[in-house]
Amino acid sequence: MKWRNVVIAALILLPIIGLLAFGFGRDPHAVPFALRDKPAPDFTLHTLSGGTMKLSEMRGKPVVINFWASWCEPCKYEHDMLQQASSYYGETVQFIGIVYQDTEEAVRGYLQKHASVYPHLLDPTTSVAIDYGISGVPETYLVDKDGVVREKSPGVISGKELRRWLDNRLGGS
Amino acid sequence: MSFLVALLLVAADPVSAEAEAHAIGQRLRCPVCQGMPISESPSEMAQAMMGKVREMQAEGKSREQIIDYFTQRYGDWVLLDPRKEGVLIFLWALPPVALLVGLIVLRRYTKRQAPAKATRVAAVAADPYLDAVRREVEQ
Amino acid sequence: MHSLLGQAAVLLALLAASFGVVVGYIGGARQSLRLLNLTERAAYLFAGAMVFANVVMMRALLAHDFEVKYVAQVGSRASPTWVTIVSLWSSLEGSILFWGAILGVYVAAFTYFNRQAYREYMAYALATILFVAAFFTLLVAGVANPFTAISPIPPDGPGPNPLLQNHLLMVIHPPSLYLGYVGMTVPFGIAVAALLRGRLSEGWLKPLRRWTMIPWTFLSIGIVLGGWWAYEVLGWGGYWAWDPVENASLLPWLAATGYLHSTVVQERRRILKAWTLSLVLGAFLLTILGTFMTRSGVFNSVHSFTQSPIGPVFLAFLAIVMIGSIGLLVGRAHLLESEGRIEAVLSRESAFLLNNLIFVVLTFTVLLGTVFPLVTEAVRGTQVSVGEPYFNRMAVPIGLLMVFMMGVGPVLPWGKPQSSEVFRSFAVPLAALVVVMVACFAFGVREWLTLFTFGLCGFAMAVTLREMVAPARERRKRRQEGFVSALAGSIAANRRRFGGYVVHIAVIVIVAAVSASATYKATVEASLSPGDSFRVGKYTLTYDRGGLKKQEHRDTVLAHMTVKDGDKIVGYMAPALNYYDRQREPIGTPDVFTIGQNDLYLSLLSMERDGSRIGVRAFTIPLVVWLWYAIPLLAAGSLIALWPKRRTQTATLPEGAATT
Repeated sequence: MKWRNVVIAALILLPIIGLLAFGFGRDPHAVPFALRDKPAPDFTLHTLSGGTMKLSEMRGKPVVINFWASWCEPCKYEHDMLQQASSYYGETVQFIGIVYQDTEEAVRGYLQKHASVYPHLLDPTTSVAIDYGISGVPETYLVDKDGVVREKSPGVISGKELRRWLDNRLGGS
Repeated sequence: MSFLVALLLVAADPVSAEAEAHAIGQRLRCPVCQGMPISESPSEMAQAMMGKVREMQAEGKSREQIIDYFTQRYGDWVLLDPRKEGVLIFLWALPPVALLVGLIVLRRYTKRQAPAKATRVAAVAADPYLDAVRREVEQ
Repeated sequence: MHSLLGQAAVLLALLAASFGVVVGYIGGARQSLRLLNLTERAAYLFAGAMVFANVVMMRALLAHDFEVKYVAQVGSRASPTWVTIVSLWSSLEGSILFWGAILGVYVAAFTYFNRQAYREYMAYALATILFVAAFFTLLVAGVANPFTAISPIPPDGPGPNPLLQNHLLMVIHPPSLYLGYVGMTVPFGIAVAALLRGRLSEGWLKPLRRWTMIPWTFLSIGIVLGGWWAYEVLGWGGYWAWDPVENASLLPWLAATGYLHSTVVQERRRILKAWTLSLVLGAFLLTILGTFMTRSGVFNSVHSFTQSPIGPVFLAFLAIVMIGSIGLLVGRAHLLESEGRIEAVLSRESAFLLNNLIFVVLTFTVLLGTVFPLVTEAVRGTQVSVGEPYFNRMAVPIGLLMVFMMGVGPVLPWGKPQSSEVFRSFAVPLAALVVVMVACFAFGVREWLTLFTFGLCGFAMAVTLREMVAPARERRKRRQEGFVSALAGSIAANRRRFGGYVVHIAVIVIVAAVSASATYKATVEASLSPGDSFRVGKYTLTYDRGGLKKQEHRDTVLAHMTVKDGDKIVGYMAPALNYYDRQREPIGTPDVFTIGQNDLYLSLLSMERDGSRIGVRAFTIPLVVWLWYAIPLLAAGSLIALWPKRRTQTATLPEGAATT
């Protein structure tokens, strides 16, 4: 009788403790990456320089999409790395920035101080951000040459991570 | 304590498009504020998502299509009202099962406790309630 | 100076608590009065040292001594004084330190009030409480040390989280909640002592009940105040969102409420001893789990503190306490034999049993919903959310069942009543149910669930009020007293019951308020330029002009609005957005205007800096104020129940036979 109770108690307790311990291994702020290996949502947006860009017209080479904003502190950390990466990969990879919930004026001011080698698009209704399942900035996506979403990095992306993404794609093709 | 929060909001008037948008928004989790439905959060992101809901409504999309649009992007994570499938069956079924099991245990407990011979012992006083009061007064 | 002094005090507290644990358990096992005496001194010493450490921290905060790590984290020269005071508990390390001080006060009070009583249990109880105390002090001395000296000393700090310095309720809401959480340690100690002794005498039930009642009261008030804070600050016109942190405060409350009911049966019928103790242990475990949820970063919430290394330590503690509690229950509970029995299915005691079942099922449901996202992620690897819709669908029926039982329980007599008479005594309450439903229908309530809820509230209210005045009426009849003196006399004769009914009224008021405010909340969103108007409910709101208020620690933009009812101006409102230096998204300060029983609630969503255009969300919400009215009712009911009997009365009773 007594031992049965002990076993029952253990059977109830161990999973609870295990579960809570499991909780440490995860980031509570993580939002799932549901678009993995799905066709990238297409968009046509205005660039800061006045033209428009359409994602589906960039088929044929991988596209790195970086969502950012001038008010976002962490975005500043990755800015330089992204510029260098874009210069390094040159014509083989298309980099674009999409501005998330920010004013055109503030973005221009920021880019005057921190030059950028790739185009930045305005998303005034936040609809493209929602299309990609954004949960804050910065967030970076990789769309492959066939227009399929392959990678996502929530938060600041490291040079190493970006390199892993792109060298995989470029080496394989 | 506050058990009855947000009663009946889902069953709101279907004729009003805004009520329908609100009902859909109630079921979707705001990704930047964690845990709050997009219909209630004052954050810009939630408002933009509500805008998307209204836009899709205007395009004539059904409630399911709109919900699907969001789950394709944010996964089932975005549903505050989880689906009733897979492991989630347990989430929905366990509370009623617990209540049922509890009732059975309780029934057996009181039966075991109550005397086997159900002799109808007459109540001490004509009105048991007032009697209890009287006892109390005498204390 | 503060850093050194604070750390010394914490170390002293840790020593005192650890010493008390060892001496207390040995003293309990040997039943040695001398060792018990030492344990009591250790408890006082712990309390003194911990309170002193808090005083040191408060001084450091007020003096802006940025050498102290915690002050550097949350202090700011620009903060107003009340914000500085609040920052003692607004951030992780400080809140644990504060926690320690409260536990110190509790353990000192518990020791003092029982300094001559319950000798056979006290050593075990104190040792157990000090064990918990030692753990928290260990956190303060180690991984969550707020006193660490840092160098170089920064010239200024960032100030506390803006969300937490936005409303004066932050001054009383967290302390009230902490007083509830921390206080649950005392009944835990009492219950563990009973299990270790393998005996639960009538006398030992009394401190168990009282010392559960005290934190329960603070917890109840803290939960409602938390709702009030959310309502006044978060800007979505709601007060409860089933957020993990809110659930964390609700869970121990539910378990403790279950206990407060089951203890009545236990006293009356001498049954369910082990069950009652399990509820006390459960309530404590749930407070620890709740603290773990808020502070470890495992769960997501608006209220949660930032991630920290205390999580694993906390988990280890939780595991030890869980295993210890279950082990004790399994090993010792059979010693607490039932002495009485239940005589009939339709009786007050069965109603209490059903009540307990309902509380346990609700606790289980809330816990299940709160941890289920972890379950699916662990077994399926997918992330899901469990939110308001789930909790509402589950909790509403259970809650209604509770209100129903609140009306049924008090009507049923103890023992073995005759059913025909029982049914007769339901006549008036059932009439109340019908009358309330018809009246509400006449006033335009058409939603069947709301109608039914109001009806049940009327039913429970009728029963409660009758139970409150019936003894007085009876007394008046028998003793020819005036009604007032009869009422006073009957209350004095049975404070606990009367107090309990006052709390029931508070709960009925809350249920009615929640039901009405949820059903009849109306929302309108508008984008306005100065001079524009829009309607919400029967009110017309006009946007007059924007305003800007520069403060040292923030900039506030306000939208000045005029509220009109028809042509008559009824008031002015000014919802605001606050911009803090280190944060991009502003934090709103909604404006709430209570007109009669209705709230007009304005939340400013956006505003052009020059005030040329604003976005506002307006709500009309009925009866929310009733929630806040329930706070004094809750407090009054608990105070009546807790009020000690006149000494002359208890002194004549031998120890162990006292009944309050």
